[in-house]
Amino acid sequence: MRNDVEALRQARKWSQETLATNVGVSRQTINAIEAGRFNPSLPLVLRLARLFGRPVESIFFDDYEADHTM
Amino acid sequence: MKVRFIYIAIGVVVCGTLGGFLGAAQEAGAASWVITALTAAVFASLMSVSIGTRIFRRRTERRELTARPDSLERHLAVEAQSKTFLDMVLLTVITGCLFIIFPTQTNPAWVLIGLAVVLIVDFWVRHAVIRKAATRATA
Repeated sequence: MRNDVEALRQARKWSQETLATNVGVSRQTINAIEAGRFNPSLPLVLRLARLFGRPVESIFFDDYEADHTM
Repeated sequence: MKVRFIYIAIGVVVCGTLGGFLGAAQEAGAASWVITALTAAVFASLMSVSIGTRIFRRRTERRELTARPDSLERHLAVEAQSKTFLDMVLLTVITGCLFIIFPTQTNPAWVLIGLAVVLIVDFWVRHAVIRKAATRATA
């Protein structure tokens, strides 16, 4: 799943460690989410959206539609 | 993490050495208080290693938030555990079948210890592989 977490974090000049502490996960988790290698749980997605003040669908993008377009 | 493994390694060496002394003392027919003292020392060192390791782990998890339900590390551990469980079921069935087909005089305790060691190694290999795949090119 693609996402804008890295861009949003860098726009706020936060380190991965800062963001990780704010949402209550490890730095490695943020690292993996930003690289698109780990799909975060729904509670974590909601915490990230709340922290960035953005709707979930403007941060995370599902590849399903792109993959299933005829 | 590394500190924990060093602590475990030192503990294994200490326990092994004390166990060796205990075996040698029993072979040599040493006084009963020596054997009792060495047995107590082996037990104490085993307990201190297991409790100490647990304390280290808890402290690290609390500091780095790696045990949180939404953390990558927790996800990796659960995934590795579930795969190891399947391996455990398969290995137990295969071992049981081998024992039925080829009955031996092997002590079942050694077979169980061997199975446990294989499963522990299996878990950590799976954990390392999954972790590498999840964190590749992200560090």
